[in-house]
Amino acid sequence: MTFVLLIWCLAAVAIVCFYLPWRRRQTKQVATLWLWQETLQRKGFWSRWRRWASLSIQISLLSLMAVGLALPFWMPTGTAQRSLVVVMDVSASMAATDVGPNRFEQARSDAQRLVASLAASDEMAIFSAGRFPRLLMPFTDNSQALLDVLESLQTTRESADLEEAVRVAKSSLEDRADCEIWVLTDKSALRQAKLSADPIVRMRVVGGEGRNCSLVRLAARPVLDDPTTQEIFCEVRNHSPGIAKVGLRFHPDEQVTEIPFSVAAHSTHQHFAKVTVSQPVQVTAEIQTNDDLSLDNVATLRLSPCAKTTVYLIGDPPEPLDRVFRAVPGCSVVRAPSLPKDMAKPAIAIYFHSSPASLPPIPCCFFEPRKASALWEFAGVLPSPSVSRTERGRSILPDAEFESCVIEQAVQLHPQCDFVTWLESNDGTPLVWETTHDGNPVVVVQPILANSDLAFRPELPLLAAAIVETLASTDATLEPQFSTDLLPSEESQLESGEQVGSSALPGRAEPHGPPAVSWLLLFLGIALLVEWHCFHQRITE
Amino acid sequence: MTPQTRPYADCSGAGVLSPIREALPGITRARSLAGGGEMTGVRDYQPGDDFRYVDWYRCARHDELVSRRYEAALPLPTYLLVDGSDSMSMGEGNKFAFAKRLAIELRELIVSCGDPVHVVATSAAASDTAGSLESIAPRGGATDLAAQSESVTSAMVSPGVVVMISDLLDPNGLAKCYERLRKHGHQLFIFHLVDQADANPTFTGRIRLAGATSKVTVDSEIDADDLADYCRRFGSWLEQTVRYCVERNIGYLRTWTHESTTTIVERLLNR
Repeated sequence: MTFVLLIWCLAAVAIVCFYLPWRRRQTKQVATLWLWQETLQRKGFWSRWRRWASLSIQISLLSLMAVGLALPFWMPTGTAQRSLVVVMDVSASMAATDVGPNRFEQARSDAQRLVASLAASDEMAIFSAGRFPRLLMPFTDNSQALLDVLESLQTTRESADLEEAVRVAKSSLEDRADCEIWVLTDKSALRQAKLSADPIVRMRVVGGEGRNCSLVRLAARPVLDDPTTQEIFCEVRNHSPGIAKVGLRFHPDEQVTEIPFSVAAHSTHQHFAKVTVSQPVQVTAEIQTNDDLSLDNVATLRLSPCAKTTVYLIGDPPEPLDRVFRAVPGCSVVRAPSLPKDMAKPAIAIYFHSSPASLPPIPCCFFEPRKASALWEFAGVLPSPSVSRTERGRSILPDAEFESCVIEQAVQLHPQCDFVTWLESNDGTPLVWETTHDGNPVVVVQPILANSDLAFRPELPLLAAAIVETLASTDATLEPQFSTDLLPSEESQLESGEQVGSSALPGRAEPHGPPAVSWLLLFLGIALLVEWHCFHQRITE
Repeated sequence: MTPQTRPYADCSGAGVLSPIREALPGITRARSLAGGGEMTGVRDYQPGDDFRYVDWYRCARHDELVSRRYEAALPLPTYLLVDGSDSMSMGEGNKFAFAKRLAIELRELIVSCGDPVHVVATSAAASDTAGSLESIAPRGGATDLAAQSESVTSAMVSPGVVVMISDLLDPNGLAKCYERLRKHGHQLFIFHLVDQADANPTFTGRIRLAGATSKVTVDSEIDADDLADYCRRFGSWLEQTVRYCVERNIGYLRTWTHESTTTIVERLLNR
């Protein structure tokens, strides 16, 4: 539009310059001025204003051509320029084949229809909604580029954060006037209803009532009293409204175990098995059934043989502490004045009343630390001994009640690093906390065991077991190992989105390009300009 | 009052008619009408004939209006009146210089016939009755034919033939001039000088037209249509002038400044 205006201005200036009299007026002495005066007084209106009338007509014809050129830019303003954002759900559930060929292909087809509905001046941007939203194509009116992006899209094994994707899409709209965000998804009705509340969001739901059985969980953990044996836990969920007959097939190493069973509608079946692991082995669980989503029918788990963890007790800890660590299964306790150089692995160090200047390169725990360390700031005695439990986020100490513990005296340490508080006093001072140093977990236990009743309570063995479990977890020997290729649970629920009205796609837009009237005006302007130029030449000669 | 007449033989002094009188029938006739001698015949009355010479007897008897013709008895003087206005200084061929050359030719022709001749170079305000034609110069000013005729009539008491050499570019026309001369008994013969630049101008475009005498200027965009219109008006003006002269029996000869004076005199004598 600006380009057309610029061209018009340049051409108009050129024409005006062509018409302006550049030569100086010549003076002619005549003997018959009275005859000349009669002649010029009777000069016609047309003769007087012919130059300027001609200039006006030339400018008018030029304007006509400019209008012809600018018409394609003007016409869309009458139909309001739109800005569309397509949010494509690329989550795993979009691979479900309850609609042919699958949900994602149907969504892709809908998105292509949206691209086809774009008018000449409409713009579209494409986002993918996976675990994180991604901008695949910023706002453009290039339909081919949009189609290419859509063609290159594939589903993932992630879940989709549609709310975040829509939020990012809305932020990309900035101050655009006529905006629509099209979310092409199969997500739950609840999410759709939440998103549909936004007036600029239009939901396009793909998929139907899919049948699916999914491997919800595949985990393994060592048996405490026999580290060479591991328990395998497998959970299968039937997301369908009917009973599903499932054949679960295990591949622990070279062996194949087939377990047939039935799962009631919307219920879960769990299966336990034991596997002797003497060397690294891969366990594959596979559901032998024909459902609409095959991505969640297989899961693998790689197991390694477990080894006993050596616990080095350093600093001559009291007998109760020695006993509680010896009672922790899966570990052997060694009392030592300092950490030996040729220590067995895996190993953890328990320091009592001492802390080395530099922390050892293995997981360690400090009971009643007395010396300053790089990890904390020594600050004196804790005045208020009451305890509260603040452990958040995960269950480190299950079934342990510390609220009734009495701690008469404790050392107040201010950690200088990021830490997780297991226990803290009522005034917020951490008593037992966990942090990380050089990739190794470090647990600090500040209460003085001799002056508290903690040593006489059953919570102390639980605390010791939690410490060992936390410090030894880096070897993945005691933590349950979960399959890494399991789908997020919500992705296996192929519930239909039909409960929320799916927005109808707009119709196909008119073919792009200048309209016929634009070409007509352009050619008419050129023809009239040439004709007028010839006529002007004739009448001025 | 007895009309002044004289025989043609006496006019030339050598027994031949003056060429200019032969060429100027109006003047010749007038002289014969104005003569005071023997009556030589009658002719049909023509506008401008003195009523004193109308043959009323013949009119009453035959119902014919005729004028009596007499032989002239005295030679009439010829006044060569050269227009010295500013407009005569213009044109491709300098009309005043051309007029002076023509006047010299005519003077020699008339003198050779033995007629008295007076040369007058006029402008709007003054006249010069200098005897030497070669020394006269344009006096400037606007073309005012009436003032020129007045200068002649005031300086030259005896009636004669006034030969006016002018471009006649007087917006007021020839009427006052003619009436004044006629009132004083003068006969008028006009050599109308027409210059090609006046008749067919060729300039076009953005022009500032300046008059020959006045300070008035006219700015205009002159195109081919304007030129055609001007030429048409100029031609129309020429036709009106000729018609005026014919109707009043005024001798008229249009002369172009690009012609030679000799050619013009020959053309005059061959009329």
